Amino acid sequence: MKAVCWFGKQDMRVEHVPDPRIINPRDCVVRITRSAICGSDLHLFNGYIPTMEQGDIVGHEFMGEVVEIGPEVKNLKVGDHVVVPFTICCGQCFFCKQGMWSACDNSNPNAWMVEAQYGHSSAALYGYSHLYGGYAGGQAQYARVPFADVGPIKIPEGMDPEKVLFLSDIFPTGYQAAEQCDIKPGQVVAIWGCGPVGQFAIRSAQLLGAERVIAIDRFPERLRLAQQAGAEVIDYSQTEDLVETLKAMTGGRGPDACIDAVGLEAHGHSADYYLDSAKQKLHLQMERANVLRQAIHACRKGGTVSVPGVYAGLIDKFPFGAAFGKGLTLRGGQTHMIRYLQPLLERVQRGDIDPSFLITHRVALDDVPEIYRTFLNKEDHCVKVVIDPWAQRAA
Amino acid sequence: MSEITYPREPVAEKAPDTAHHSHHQPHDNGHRPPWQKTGSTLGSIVAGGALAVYGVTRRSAGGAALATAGGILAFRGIRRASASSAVHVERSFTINRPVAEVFSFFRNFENLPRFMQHLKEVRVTGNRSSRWVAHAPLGFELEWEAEIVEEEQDRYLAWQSLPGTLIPNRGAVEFQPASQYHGGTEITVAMDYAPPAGRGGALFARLFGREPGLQIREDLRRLKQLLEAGEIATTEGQSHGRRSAFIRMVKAANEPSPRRGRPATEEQQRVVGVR
Ligand SMILES: NC(=O)c1ccc[n+]([C@@H]2O[C@H](COP(=O)([O-])OP(=O)(O)OC[C@H]3O[C@@H](n4cnc5c(N)ncnc54)[C@H](O)[C@@H]3O)[C@@H](O)[C@H]2O)c1
Ligand SMILES: [Zn+2]
Ligand SMILES: [Zn+2]
Repeated sequence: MKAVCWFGKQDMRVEHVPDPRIINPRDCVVRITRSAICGSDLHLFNGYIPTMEQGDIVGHEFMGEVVEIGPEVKNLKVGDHVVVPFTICCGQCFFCKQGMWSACDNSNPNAWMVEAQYGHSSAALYGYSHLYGGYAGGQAQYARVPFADVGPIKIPEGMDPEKVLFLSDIFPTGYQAAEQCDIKPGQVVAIWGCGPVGQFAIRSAQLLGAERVIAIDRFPERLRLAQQAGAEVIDYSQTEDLVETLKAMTGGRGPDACIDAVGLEAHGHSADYYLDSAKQKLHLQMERANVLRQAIHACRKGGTVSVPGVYAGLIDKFPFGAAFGKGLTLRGGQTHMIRYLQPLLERVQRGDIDPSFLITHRVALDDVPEIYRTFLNKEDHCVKVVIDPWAQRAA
Repeated sequence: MSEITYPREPVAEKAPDTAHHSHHQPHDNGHRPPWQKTGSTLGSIVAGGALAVYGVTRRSAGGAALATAGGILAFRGIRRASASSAVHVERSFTINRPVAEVFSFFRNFENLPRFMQHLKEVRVTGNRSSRWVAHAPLGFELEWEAEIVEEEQDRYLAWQSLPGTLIPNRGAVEFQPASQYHGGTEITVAMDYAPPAGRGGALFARLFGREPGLQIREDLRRLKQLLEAGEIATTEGQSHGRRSAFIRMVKAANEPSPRRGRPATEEQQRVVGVR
């Protein structure tokens, strides 16, 4: 089959590799019908995620048709159409049983690596470094799905794949980001980043009762999408003091909740941004955390800062004093995907939301290496790329 | 955290039939094994009799067998390990299954090779006796007889190798219900290995890297996966694109199963006493 493989920093290639097969009894194999590129993949592309190896198949947002089933998978049959959540969960450990799916104890064969770095390991992910398990990803024609009796959600026949594909990651991720804010009716939520995760966070905050959503980015097409959803928007690149602006917009209080949907590759023009990026270039620090710092400064006393944006290592000048002084609640983490699959599928079916609004680019596998660059640089108004692994390359 | 200790008697000096099998003392703190209070500290393990050079057979095809747990780490550690000291490893894990289930799975030693990667086979030969075969470096196998010396249903289990083993060893495992909130079983495993005298020490050094604890840690992780999830998570055998030469080399060096590699040289055979 064809698969997108990581070959090094800013070097993705389409390779011919052996088709995946069942390895463990709870595996299945899916023929992938749609896949997508995520903002998280850009962290791989830029080499910020350690323990990638040349030849690793990337991609963690995919859906497909079940073509092979391991003997212990009783709830799926060949021919079922499923969306596969990006976290791999055993369903049987303490954490899975508690619904803390992304903390699964048993899915990461390289758990010891994560333990060494973080103290404890968490769920493995598809196509996201050996630290996160080293599983082959879904920017490919087929994928092996471990613990297939737990993760994948069956899609009713006849549903448009583009409406359900984002159940694989960014819709639940944006939803959890908003849910973690514990939004009370009438509250104001500020969201940094109007990428795919930010867009779903905006809409989820509204679904969960926020009175006002303030969305922050600098790309006009992304801000426009936010506006279309009914958010007030701020172009941070045109704003002298974002924290003051947010306070001014909220009667001096600051937003009740702040969501960092940007993560470790934030851009900006503040002093801490330049300091962070210099350190990043010198490999002294992995993160550019200016958004997280801003969110902590802007958030009202006793509010919540919810962090779906990915961070991986150590952050300098983390304003914990401000977080402490204001009594903030900080929440973050990989999404507990399986909690959200069914309820969000139902929301799509009911027509509460049509996730396909995000898609700007539809490509074949052979186009993927090039489109990574387009997506990275936000060229061509690129917001979300969907891959049809069986399509012929556009001429 | 509980610490497991062993009966005071040196392993190898203890005749099998005099091992105090099931003597009970009242425990004062609920679920401590009776020998814990009288036990010697760990690490003061015995080098058992003279270097008994048997129980080592040669495998058909050779290969470095060990590097289970730490992968690259263990692989590097092997060379630096000192051959002169006994090895003690101890590790706890919480397994989200009832104590009785974890105990009975472990009590059937024939299950051990399913999660202890250095073991090739364990055959239960009697109620308390068993015969163990382990992978050793360079395509050798180590064989020994072991016997359960302490046991209380759903509480603890201790075993030791019988005299005549190249690498005298013993193990103990304790089972406790985890906190009420968490549920499941806290299992603590401790193992001691005594180095053989003389040149067998080199083999010993290769068996245990600088961090021998890694192996038991990963063994217990596999046990947990097996009992909770019913299978052991792996990516071995999945597809990938072309690997770099460097990665291929590292992977080959860490190959966990001793299928590849050179057969032992005559010199090596002499050292470990191949039959
Ligand atoms: N927690 C999870 O489980 C999970 C899942 C998916 C994605 N993510 C993470 O969420 C983040 C966003 O993902 P995405 O797919 O939307 O990525 P993306 O790169 O498309 O979007 C990021 C957006 O942030 C904007 N941005 C950069 N600097 C900013 C600043 N200083 N202020 C405001 N906006 C700024 C960019 O212009 C861009 O529009 C990434 O870090 C990704 O890894 C996390
Ligand atoms: Zn993603
Ligand atoms: Zn789990």
